[in-house]
Amino acid sequence: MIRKLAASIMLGLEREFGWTFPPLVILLSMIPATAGVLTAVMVYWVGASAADRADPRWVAFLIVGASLYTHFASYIWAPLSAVSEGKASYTYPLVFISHSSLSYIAGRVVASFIESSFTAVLALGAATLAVKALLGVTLELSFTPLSIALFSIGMIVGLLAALGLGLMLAAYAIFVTRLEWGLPVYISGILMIFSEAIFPSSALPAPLPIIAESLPFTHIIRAARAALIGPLSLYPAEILAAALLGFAWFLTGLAVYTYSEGIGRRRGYIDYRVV
Amino acid sequence: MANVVAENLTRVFETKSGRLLALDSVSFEVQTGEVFGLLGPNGAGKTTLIRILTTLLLPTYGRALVGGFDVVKEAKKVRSIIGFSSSSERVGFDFVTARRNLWFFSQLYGTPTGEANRRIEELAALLEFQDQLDRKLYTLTTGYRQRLNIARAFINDPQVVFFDEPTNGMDVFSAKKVRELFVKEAKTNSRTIFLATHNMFEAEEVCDRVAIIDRGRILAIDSPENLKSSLSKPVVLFETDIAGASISDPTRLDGVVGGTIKVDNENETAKIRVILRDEDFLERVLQLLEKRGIRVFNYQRIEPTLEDVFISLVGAGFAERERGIEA
Amino acid sequence: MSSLALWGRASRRGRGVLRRSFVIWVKVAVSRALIRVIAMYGDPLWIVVNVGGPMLTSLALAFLYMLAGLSSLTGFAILGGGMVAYWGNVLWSMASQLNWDKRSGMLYLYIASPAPLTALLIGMSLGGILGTLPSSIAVLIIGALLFKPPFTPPTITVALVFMLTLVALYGMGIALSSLYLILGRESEEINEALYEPISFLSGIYFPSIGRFSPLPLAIQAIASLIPLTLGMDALRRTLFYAEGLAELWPNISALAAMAAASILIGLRTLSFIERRGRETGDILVGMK
Repeated sequence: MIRKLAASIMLGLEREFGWTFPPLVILLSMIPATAGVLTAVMVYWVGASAADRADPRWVAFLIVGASLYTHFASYIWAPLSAVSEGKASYTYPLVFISHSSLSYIAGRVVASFIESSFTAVLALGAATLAVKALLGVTLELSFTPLSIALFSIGMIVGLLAALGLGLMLAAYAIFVTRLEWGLPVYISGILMIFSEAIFPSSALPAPLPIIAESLPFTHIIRAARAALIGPLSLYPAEILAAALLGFAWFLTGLAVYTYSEGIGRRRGYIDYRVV
Repeated sequence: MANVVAENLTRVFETKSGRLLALDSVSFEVQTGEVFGLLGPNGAGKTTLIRILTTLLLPTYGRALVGGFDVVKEAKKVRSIIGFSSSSERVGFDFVTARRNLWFFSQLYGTPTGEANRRIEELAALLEFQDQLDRKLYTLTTGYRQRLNIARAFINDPQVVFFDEPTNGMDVFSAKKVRELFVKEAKTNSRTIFLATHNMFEAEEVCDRVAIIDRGRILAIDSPENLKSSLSKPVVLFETDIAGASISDPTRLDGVVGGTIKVDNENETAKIRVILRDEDFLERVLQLLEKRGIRVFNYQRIEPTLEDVFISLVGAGFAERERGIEA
Repeated sequence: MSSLALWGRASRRGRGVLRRSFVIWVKVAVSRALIRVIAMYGDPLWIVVNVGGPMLTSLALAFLYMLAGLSSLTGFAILGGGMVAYWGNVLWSMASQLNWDKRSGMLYLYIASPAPLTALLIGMSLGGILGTLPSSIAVLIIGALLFKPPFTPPTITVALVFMLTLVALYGMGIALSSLYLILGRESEEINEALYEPISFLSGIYFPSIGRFSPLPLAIQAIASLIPLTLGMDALRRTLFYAEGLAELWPNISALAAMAAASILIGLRTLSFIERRGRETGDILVGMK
């Protein structure tokens, strides 16, 4: 199991970084991530300036949330891509018959998580500097060893939740034969609205905040904000909620994926080509 | 009338490891209505030659004419009279029907839609995929997709059609249909069919003439029958025990011009096929095999194939050549 | 035969060749556009899938405009959602297309046929514009129904600006497609890397140039070099501030010049790369 997982992580890292000079990969991922975060900041700033109520605390709220959202949104795709690309190249059927598909998917998620974590942290830093340079706003973000450690713990807790969601997407990828990236696009959009990435879930009309509360990602983003912006006292409850929900999502994802593999095998979808 | 003419065609590629001579002073002519085969192992220069003749690549030296037009100076004219298909392509639009795909390719040549539709029906009937025409491309099986690629090469009513390993990976039935189409199109519609292949059976079955190419040089050109009958040396097949496979290179046997070895691991036997310098060397080879502890179950003189012609010319078979074994 | 008669015959022949070339050009462009439209409209799922990203992003950003304090600006985000679909189409279905064609072997067939690559690219653009229209309209309608942003009814100026923006944008796609032809997988990574920064600089969702822009002047100047920036700025000003041709002529003329320049640069690059590819043999790398 460990060997399979390690091999899949290595393969995933090779795939993520192997096509060119690795620091260039990070740079090429960081630039769009930073631009995405800055777009949300500018939208807020234009709207708030026009209403004469621009608030730097909101900008800090946005930067932390949008950076973490970008992080999740960029690696929850990994399992879907592992299955759909794998079906096209026949890798997935071979992985399936070797009883390694779970390790394979988990390995690919971890590899994408590693790349995406670097990207998210750098994007957070770059966006903070860019806001100072572009808007002249200094953000009160606390970058201490403790806050960075707590922020990192949040990202690691998020890995379990992302793997759960990823396994559900992988289950979907077993059955789709075309336009397999359609669902993840919607999932990313829904996460942007409900995970408190760019605005508090309390602003959503009732009963929509319930959806936000049931997402582990919402609690991870809140915990990260507690670590970097404060108050730190909110951190333990949020990280605990994130861990519990993440574990529940992981178990759900595991069940859905295992069940789908069985159905997929019965109906002949495991090696059905993806266009 | 010569429809394809090559005169001292040479192509040199500048690679990281130095200069690579892919074609070396190649000259030949192919007539109207002729099925012409270019036979050689992978890496012999077949694809490079086709790329030059289809205007995709410029020659380093030499000249080539297709349909009387110079491939360098009159590329546009050449393009309007040729068709092309390769087994390595995965051409077409997946979410569009086979019929609409073929129509699209006809439009690349400005074919009027009515005429294109007539040709689509005609080609689909010849290659027996009429019932697949209105299915989207991604739903077609590999065999039908390959037939569609062949049909596409004829969609513009070309004067010369180039095929690069057209039946590679194709099922037996589809390959048979395709070969029949080649002969029919050449003989009935006076097209020139230019076929690059390493499939000896295909070359023998459909080609009027075959050029044997190796390392960028054309070694012989003639009809398959004449090429085989030109091989005056005896071809002998030895069936031995598995120890026979230890002779990695039969040309090292005294009196042997060239040969191939096929190993049957299941039955633990080997088939050593050699071309002898002359009949007198048969005893010598048998003694050499015995001396090496190889048990010969059976041996017989056999009819030469085109690969034997190739072996007699270069000293090694296709497989050995592709593995880089020197003569 | 007199020299005049010879000249007349040669001239007739020349006209015949020209006419045939023109017919092929039109047929190739129309058929390429049609294939793209059929592929997109023939599968309603395409439209559903294409609507998703731009719609949800623009809804989230419209909501952010509302929370920031000015509901009247939600239209910026909705308009951005409508236009970002085209930007995505230009990158993924236009700029990358020849590279994908190269990998599938299709480019070989294009070059070995008399079809001009210019006609194929123009056809692809036309097909892309028509094919993206339903997604774009869907985003605009859904956004308008949910947020009811105030806007001026579209005028001829809006239509002109919209058309010019698309021409300039797809011209950029043609230029990129020529460059991507020499790349391998890097082209996909470059697309990924370009999408968000260009969206940001061109102000798809917020005014990146002009009096409402929060960006410094130097950045605004750089952003103005992107045709999409000028197009988005002009569209916002016509739709939300009722400005007309009199105010927008600098944007319109710059857009027209950029459109012409990018198409010209793209086509010249393409013909250079094709010529060089025939000499070095690397145009079809990726194909057997």
